Amino acid sequence: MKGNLLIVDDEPLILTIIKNRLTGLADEIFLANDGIEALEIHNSNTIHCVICDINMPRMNGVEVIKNIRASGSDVPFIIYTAFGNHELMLQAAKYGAFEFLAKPNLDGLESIITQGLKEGIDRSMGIQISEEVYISEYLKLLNELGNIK
Amino acid sequence: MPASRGILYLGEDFEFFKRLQAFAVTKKITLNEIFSAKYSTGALTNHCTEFYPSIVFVDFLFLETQANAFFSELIFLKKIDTFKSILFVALFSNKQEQQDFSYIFTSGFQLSFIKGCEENILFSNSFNIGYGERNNHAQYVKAKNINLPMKLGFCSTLTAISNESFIIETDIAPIESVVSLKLDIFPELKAETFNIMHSKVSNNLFPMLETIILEYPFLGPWDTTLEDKIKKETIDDWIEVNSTQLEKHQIRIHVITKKQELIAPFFNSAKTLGIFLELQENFNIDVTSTLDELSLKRPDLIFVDLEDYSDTDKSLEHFSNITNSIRSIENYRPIIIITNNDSKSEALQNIYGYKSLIVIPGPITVDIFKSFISKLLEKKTPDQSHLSLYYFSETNRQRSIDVNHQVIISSLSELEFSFYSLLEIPMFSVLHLTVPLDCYATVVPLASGLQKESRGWGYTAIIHGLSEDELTSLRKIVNQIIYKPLQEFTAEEVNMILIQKELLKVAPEATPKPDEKVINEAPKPDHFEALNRIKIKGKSKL
Repeated sequence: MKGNLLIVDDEPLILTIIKNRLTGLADEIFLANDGIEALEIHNSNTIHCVICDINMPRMNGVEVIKNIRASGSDVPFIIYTAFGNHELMLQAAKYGAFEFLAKPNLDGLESIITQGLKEGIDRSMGIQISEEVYISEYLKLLNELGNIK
Repeated sequence: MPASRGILYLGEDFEFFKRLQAFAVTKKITLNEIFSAKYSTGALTNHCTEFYPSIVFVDFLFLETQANAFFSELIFLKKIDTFKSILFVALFSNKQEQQDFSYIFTSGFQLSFIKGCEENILFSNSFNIGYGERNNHAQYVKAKNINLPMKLGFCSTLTAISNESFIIETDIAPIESVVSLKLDIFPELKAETFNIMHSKVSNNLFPMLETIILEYPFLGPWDTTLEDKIKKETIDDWIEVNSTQLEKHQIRIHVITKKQELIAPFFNSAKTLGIFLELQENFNIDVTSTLDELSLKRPDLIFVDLEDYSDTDKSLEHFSNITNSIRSIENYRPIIIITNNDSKSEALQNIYGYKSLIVIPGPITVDIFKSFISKLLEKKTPDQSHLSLYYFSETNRQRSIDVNHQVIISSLSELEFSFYSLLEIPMFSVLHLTVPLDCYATVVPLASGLQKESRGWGYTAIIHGLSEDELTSLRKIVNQIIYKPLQEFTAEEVNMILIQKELLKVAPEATPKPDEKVINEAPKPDHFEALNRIKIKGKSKL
């Protein structure tokens, strides 16, 4: 199972480019032109990962993630945004962002989407990261920082 | 949970407890809202988190060897918003005992009482303050229109010292560049004003409102007078001699969360591990203040619970203040643990530009604390920080100081006095009076509210901490002032009254322990009625 992907962007060309690039990585790819359409698709289908533009008319990416979180979903969100939207990015982080990608750079997109879909499948199956993983992350950071003085 | 009307008595004086119950019943407090308990480590936290009492009476005769544990617990609780408004009242057997615990008013206590005096005044004052009612004291004989300029000492505390500066905590924000106080740990230093290096309203070590960093008046190479200056070697020597009685915080942990009561169970074990735990309820919106605080305190680990902060405020931008400040401090890279957030660690590392950051989707728990801290303890080497701060422990008597402020006394009775101050004084601040008698007074709100005139803001403070004989002396002094108005409290006239009554030396009196056992187990109340306190404008300690 690869999982289902939802791509949200008000620019049709971006939707097409990303979909073409990611074909084969997901079982099904859904496209939404704006936030409202995205909510409808999310509520009607099983979505394992969302890649969403942050700056959109009618409903921006922050509102999309906020509404989806309010519905009880913890689907991973990859926020795709142009430079200068730092405030919106901070707000999106409040609701849990899996990754941030900077427009128009698509480097590493496939890898990030693959990880996002896997995370989404794990979350949908109730598989949680154990505390040991965070402790290991912590130890790694401690070692990188060297002897603490 | 909002404050209840509950009253807790920590002690074993069953007779006193019965009288407390009797008074409470006259104020329509039901018996199942008043309970007693014997203090043991953790008991205060347990009772406060279970019942949220409005008033806690602490009988110091029965604290005995547990003072350290009690004050650690009290100071920690009083810095948590949920418990800040609990009124703590100290009960002493004699004047000497009160002097031994002079630091209580910078540890969370607002009232004191020496047993043997009229208890109705104690109960009346406690209930008025504890239940947030306006001051409606019975009218006592009062000397009015005194108009006497005087320096009043406000109970404050030494927090820490280093070889270059020292830190105090007090309740009144300074408006000048100096603070007036006497630094008794250096008796040879006669200086009474100290220059402020930095002051701020921030999270403090003790439940006080302001932190001020002061510099020593070092003797310069060209200075010839010694009285108001001090040699650096004197400071260095003092620190070296007293270092065993001071504390160096091996590990500092900073926790930003609105759910501070969840951290309380960890507090006791944190202390035994040599960890200083500092709680903060809201992000500091002032960038400079954030930077100053981090530069000084340098927590090793910072926990932030992002769930608590709504998206209508700018909490996440204020969190940026922390990461931006850290980046600007040389040789300082604490690890930040963000909890209750579904983001990937790398995502927030990128957005905040700070790599030493971990995100955990779940909430802050005691288990998570212990896990991270045990790893940190394994790694931590002895503190070699650039700023060697030595902290005064909660029960170190040397930390008690008075910060002086000029006021104008306008009236005096045996129960209270009124004064005017140009400074804003937070309600329930505690003053230390040495004239005309050694006692304490707590600023209380008036039924008429805060009034301002040309002499400044008008305040009233209720007097407490007097022995029975001292109260008699004060009564005489008040009568003397009424019939023979004084321009100042002359030492000769006060001494004459005291000598006549041979009150210059007060013999400590032992209070015999009661035969009957006090009920130790707190009854489970069926219902604690919520408390509706009157809101106070301006700053307040409760």
